[in-house]
Amino acid sequence: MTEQVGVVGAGYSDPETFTDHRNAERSKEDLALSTIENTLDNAGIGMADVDATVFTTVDGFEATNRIERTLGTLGQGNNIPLISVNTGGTGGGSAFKAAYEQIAAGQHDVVLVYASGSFDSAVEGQQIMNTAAPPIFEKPIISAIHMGALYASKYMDTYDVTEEDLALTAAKNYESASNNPWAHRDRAFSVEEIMDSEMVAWPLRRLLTCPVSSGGGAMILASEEATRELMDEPIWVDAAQSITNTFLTGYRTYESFPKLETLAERVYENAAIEDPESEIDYVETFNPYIAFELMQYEALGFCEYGEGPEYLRSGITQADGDVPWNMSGGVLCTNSGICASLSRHIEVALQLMGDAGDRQVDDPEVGLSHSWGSNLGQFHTLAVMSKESA
Amino acid sequence: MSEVALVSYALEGFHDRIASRGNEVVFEVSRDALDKVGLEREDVDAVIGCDQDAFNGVTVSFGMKACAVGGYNKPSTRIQNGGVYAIAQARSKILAGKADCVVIASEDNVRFDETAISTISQDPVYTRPIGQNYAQSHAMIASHHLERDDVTERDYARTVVKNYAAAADNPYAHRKKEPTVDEVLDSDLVSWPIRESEIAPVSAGGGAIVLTSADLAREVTDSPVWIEGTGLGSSRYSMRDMDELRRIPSLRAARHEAYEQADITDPRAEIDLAEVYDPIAPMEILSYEALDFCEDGAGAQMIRDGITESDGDLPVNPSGGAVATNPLNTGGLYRTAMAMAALRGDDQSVSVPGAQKAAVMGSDQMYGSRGRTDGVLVLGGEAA
Repeated sequence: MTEQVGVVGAGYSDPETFTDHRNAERSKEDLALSTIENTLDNAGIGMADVDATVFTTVDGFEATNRIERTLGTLGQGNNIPLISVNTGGTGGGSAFKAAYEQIAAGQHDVVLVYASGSFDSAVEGQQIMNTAAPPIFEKPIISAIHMGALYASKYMDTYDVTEEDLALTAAKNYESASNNPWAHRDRAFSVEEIMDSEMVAWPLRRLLTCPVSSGGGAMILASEEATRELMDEPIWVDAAQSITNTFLTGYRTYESFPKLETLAERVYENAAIEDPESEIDYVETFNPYIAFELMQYEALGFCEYGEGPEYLRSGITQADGDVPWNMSGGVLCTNSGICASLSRHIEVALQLMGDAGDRQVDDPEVGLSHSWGSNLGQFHTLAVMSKESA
Repeated sequence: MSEVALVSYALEGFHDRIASRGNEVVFEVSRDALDKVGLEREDVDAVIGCDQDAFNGVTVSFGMKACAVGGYNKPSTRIQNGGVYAIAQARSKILAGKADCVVIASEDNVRFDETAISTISQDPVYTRPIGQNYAQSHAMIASHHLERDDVTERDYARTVVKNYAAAADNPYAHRKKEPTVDEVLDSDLVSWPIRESEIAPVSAGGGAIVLTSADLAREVTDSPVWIEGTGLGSSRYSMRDMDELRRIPSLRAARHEAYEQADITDPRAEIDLAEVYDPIAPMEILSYEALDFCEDGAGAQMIRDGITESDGDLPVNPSGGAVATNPLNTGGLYRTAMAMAALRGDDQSVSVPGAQKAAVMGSDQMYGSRGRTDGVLVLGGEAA
């Protein structure tokens, strides 16, 4: 009884809302309303057509609990199911997966996924994030930047990766973001500018690390029948899955993402992908600390371990390359809380729909999206979407 | 035949709030639930948590537990609406062919101030500044209920007396006392018209439930409990429309879907027992109406007629309900487990002889009744 699941809508709050979280001017309700209106417009449907909503955030960042109860824009007026998913930074991927499962099981026909901007409330998110760490050994030392720096330094040490390699990767993302109206850091930076930016936690400099942004994102998933009604060239979800690592991070490795490699093998099998580089046309990954993007080239099977910098230099992941990667500028440029986690899926859907504006790549048919979250990246999610040509 | 079954559960507790063994509890109950049906960690395809960060005192609190529940190297997620919503998601996962065996677990072992958490979760403009919390917003519904319907404070007291009597025989129940109606009415006023013996405590403990596909269920147990229907619903965050709050539209939406899936057309006749969320006594009476066990406004008469007592025609909360046992994260799993026990008839905790069909209500209204989400499960047993 498994149903084919389609993506019929994707969208964001208005471009000017993607700014520094301290400059956020809209109320949470207003942000949610404009995000959902834009996304329903993209799908060509109204809220009355939505059968269920999956909401995701990290409650602590909202400076309240279960913020969705008070938003009032998520279908409560129609008494539809409102499912609250919280898996940290993987929230967007987890919510997408939850909606996918509900439709595939025939429980709902049209499901809205709303990912909150999250960061526009708490004065300082670090203390909140820090409570997710194991209390005895890690809580005394860990904040978000360390999550990135531990991986980046071990990766550089293991594979002789240089600071310039990281800066080159960041420069690619900044150049892409300059074409993206929804990017927070929305201008190109040269490699020199990046390498001159201040050191935050070695080896991560300011411009190798994401900002803290505002902005909301949403998607609409639908059953096969509803998808065929709404789309001339349907976008199908070929796979959506997640994986769990240990809670204590002493059991993990830092020079690579082995759990992401395992997850990719499973997801490629589900989506019948044998050679990712030749079969996947577009990729969006969770790259708030830019070394992650190089490590993801490797874990996702696009190149061998340690060859990430060479793969970047080959140009394959550039806008005009064979597999453009993070043409939105990624999380490095726009870190809008849990929205940034769903944004990876939104960007892939917009690219497949041909709705990606100035960041549109040449006619992609298969896309891969990724999210990463919880303490030091305990969880990964992946989804494969593909376009059925008319 | 339904395609997804509940095959096992394990509970730890329930008792006063003592921050005891924290995350070890989810390991113990998950291990115990799997052992009862001879399943190993390798047999588990995915795990789901159903707790909330505020009740665990840390951010992304399921991170600590995912592997203790058996999730290492596997898919995991966390649904914050509670156990019934998590069961609905796990059922979807199995129906979609993405898993054959899913474990859901949660624990309540952190000390917190539930009134402060409730106040913080109110809207920031109107009700947070005046310090409103769940006891007061529930009490406002109760006072409206008294004004509009054929119901008295004595009916509220009768409702909890029934529940305490049921809890007395349940080894998992937290509050063990058997007050009289007059003793309930004499207990301290919390927020008029709600008294201390009429409002749920906060209970510590943990729980796990194992769901499997039909084929696996037949392999591992002789007494599967089938999920015949699931329904979920939400309602607006509004205090203006008291009648809407009294009618609980989120629960009605959930009930419609669950009954439709389970082909229930006359719930009063077809359902043999129900486990509902009753954080205050009026909510149990109002849930009879929302679950279509009686006409709107006739809930109190069911209490007066003894219909919902443990030996009545339609026992409601034969476990003793939330007024006796109220783990905030584990409540949905607990009520489901109690319905499983009643349908199987192989457990000393809850006994409803001959019961074949149960309705279970899940709710996250512990922050207050506005903006709540509700879920309904229809479960079918195979008792001889």
